Amino acid sequence: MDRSLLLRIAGAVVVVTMVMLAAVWYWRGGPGVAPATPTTKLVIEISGGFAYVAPTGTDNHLEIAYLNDFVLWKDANKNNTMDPDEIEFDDLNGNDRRDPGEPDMCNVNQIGTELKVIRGTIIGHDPSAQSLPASREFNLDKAVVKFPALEAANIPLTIGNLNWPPPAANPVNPDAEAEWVDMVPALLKKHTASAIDPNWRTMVNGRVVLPGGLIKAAIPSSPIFKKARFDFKANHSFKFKAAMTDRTKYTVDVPAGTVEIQLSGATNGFTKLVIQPQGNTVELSLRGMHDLGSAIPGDGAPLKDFCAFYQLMQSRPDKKDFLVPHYIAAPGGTGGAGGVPSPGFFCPGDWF
Amino acid sequence: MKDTLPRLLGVIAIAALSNADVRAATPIQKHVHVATSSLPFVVAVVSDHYTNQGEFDSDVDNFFKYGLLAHDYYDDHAAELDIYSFYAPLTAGQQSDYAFDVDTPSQNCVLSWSDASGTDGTLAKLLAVVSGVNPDRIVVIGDHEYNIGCTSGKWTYVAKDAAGTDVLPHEMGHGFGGLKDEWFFEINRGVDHPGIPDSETRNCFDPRAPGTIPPWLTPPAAAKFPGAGSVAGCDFFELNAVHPFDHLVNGHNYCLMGASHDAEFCPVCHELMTEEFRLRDPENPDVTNPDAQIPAPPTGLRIVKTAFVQPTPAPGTAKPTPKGAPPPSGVILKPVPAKPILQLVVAFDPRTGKITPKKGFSITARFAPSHRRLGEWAYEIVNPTLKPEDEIVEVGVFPSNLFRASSYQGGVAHQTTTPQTTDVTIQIPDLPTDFAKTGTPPVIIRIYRLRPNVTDKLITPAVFRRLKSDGDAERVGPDLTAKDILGVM
Repeated sequence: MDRSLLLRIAGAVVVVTMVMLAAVWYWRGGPGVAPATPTTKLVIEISGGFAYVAPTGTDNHLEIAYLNDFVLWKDANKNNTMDPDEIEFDDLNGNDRRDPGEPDMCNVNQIGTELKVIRGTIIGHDPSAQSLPASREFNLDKAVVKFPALEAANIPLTIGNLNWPPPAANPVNPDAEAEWVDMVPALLKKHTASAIDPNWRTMVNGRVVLPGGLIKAAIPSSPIFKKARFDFKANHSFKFKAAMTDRTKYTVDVPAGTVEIQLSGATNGFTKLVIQPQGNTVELSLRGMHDLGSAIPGDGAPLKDFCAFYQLMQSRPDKKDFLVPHYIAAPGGTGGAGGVPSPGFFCPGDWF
Repeated sequence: MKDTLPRLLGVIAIAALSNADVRAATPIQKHVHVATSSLPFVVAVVSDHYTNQGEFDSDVDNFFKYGLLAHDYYDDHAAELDIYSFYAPLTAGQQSDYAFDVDTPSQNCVLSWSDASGTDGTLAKLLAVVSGVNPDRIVVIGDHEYNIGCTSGKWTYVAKDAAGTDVLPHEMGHGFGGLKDEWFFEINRGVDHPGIPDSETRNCFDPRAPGTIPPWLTPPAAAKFPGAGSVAGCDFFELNAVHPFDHLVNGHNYCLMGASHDAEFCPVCHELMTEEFRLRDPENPDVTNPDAQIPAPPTGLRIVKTAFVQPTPAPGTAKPTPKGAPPPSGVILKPVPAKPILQLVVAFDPRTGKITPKKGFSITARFAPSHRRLGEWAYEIVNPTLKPEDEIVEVGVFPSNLFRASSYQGGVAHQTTTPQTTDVTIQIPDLPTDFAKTGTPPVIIRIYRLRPNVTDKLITPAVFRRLKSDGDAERVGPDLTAKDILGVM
């Protein structure tokens, strides 16, 4: 074998070795970088009358709170007890006296909130001796829900849009999800002298804490609301018209191969759930349930339970300034009863 | 490279096409829950608007494994539910392969469908996919991010975001139990119900006839329902339509047929539903009805009483199963044997009693009689070549609630409409598989309107003979002949 051939072979071996080493170096993320952390896509479909509390300053914690029962009353005799004649009523005839047929101004009975696993497998839970529900559905009564992997990740929070109310003509194309981004109400935008009560965390039933990620409003949960509008009235006088949605969607990449959910204070007794993704995704649904009674409002009827959000306001507006949405069915095309809504069922949240 | 690139693109195209998103020639069928009772309710679950089988399979799990079968009521009847799923990807360019339109309300529902003739109608399209299992109920899951449901006749439509809600258990209350909605529209506050005949009384009762009280308050039934009353508002109207229980009673959230979320069946609805499952108990479908028909036992099995039981338990170990309860764990009852059946889709006009055939399917499957009466419509299938005493080969009913759709979206729904022509199915048992060629035997289908005083729970052949001889069943509309049926085979 001549010398030049040997040199060529040696050279080729060196080049191949270097290329392989470089590939390994590149694959491992370069100098000083640990192997890539697995991530799991977490999707939470949210529907119902939740209080969405946005962080202030540089904080990235979005909190989604489920409310307690609420009756609007005035402690006239200062005995710290709600007496029957202290319940605020809707003074329909304006005579300052409660007459038969004049309803409570705000009396909302909350049934509860449920978290359900839609995609993924529950591979661990605490206490382990407690049986998991066959429905993979967890009543969140009194629960504060956290995701430990997100707490440590310092992921920025992106909120779709908070320009509320939108123009009455929007959404122009109700099938375009992007046109629904500012369709979750934000009552404080209309009550600028009020603010969320600093003690709100103690005033709600429970909350889901989401550090970072993307939340945006989505197309309503029923097609009949896609083309409908709501007349917002105060003291029965029209103020403005807007579309609303009862659904939002939260997405985030969790820096872990599974999604761990921590529950504290939950009446259901669970303190931890560990969910293995399906594919690369864990999907949860967070639903607010509602006590609808036995009558379903029709076109023009108020969403009477919407007033529950006023319980979280400091410097609460006078009851005559409460904004009450009234359902306005889309003209034509609703047919039969398909266009008849239910305030309990169609239960939008509110941004604070 | 000139040749390689097209080849490469061809390979990529073939790989892409073979992956998904093209209409499968045959839907993919899975037996997702196996019943252990001998004559279960068969539920066929059909995909609509899906292009990904994995997504559909997950949603089937969410609606059934983690939904209906984990529900407080239905899990007690898991042994009596046989569930199949049928997946076919959406045909390119279509919104639905079954003519559903979830964005256009119609009739009583938030969505619309097709009653077109022949194979173009929604029911015929669905049966073309699922008729092989001869389902009692068809549940269509739509790949739409809506929380809606609607029931019309044999099918129920749910959109995928209704998984994990009360929507499917509520719809099955309409579908299995013929139960009505226990709420009313605000616009119907102070408005009288148009009238609920006694023959249609289930969980809603019309108290206007002097001296009448709801059946749940009538002895001896009243003893079974402590706390029951006459609560105003039922079947969309506030007045003169009452239901049994208020919605919050002793820590219970009643009723799943109402509008509140997370509710359970009230005791009366619970009993009516359980009665439906009891009808499928071959040992004794209904103790109150001595004419109840018992399915013929399969051959080669030891018969204990009239149930088909295997294996024989060791002496002293057998415990009686409570009436209406599913068989004990581990006991699998031999299924009722398959037989040749002609499943016929017809349009039935309740204003005239006329039936118009739309599509016939020859199948071999287990036969479940359709005897539970709700309302006023019954039919008989006659084979005139048999001796007079044998010529009525089967009778069945069209529940009157088929002619109004029932919609539920967690509370949103519809108003009462006038009766309208609706697609229904008739099963003709023991019809030879070559009927489509020969047209023999020359069967005839006759429609009867039962008098309003007829409240028999089951319309069996024996009951039907009595009703006819007593003048309580009036023949209406033209006969449907074998020739008419052959035209749609």
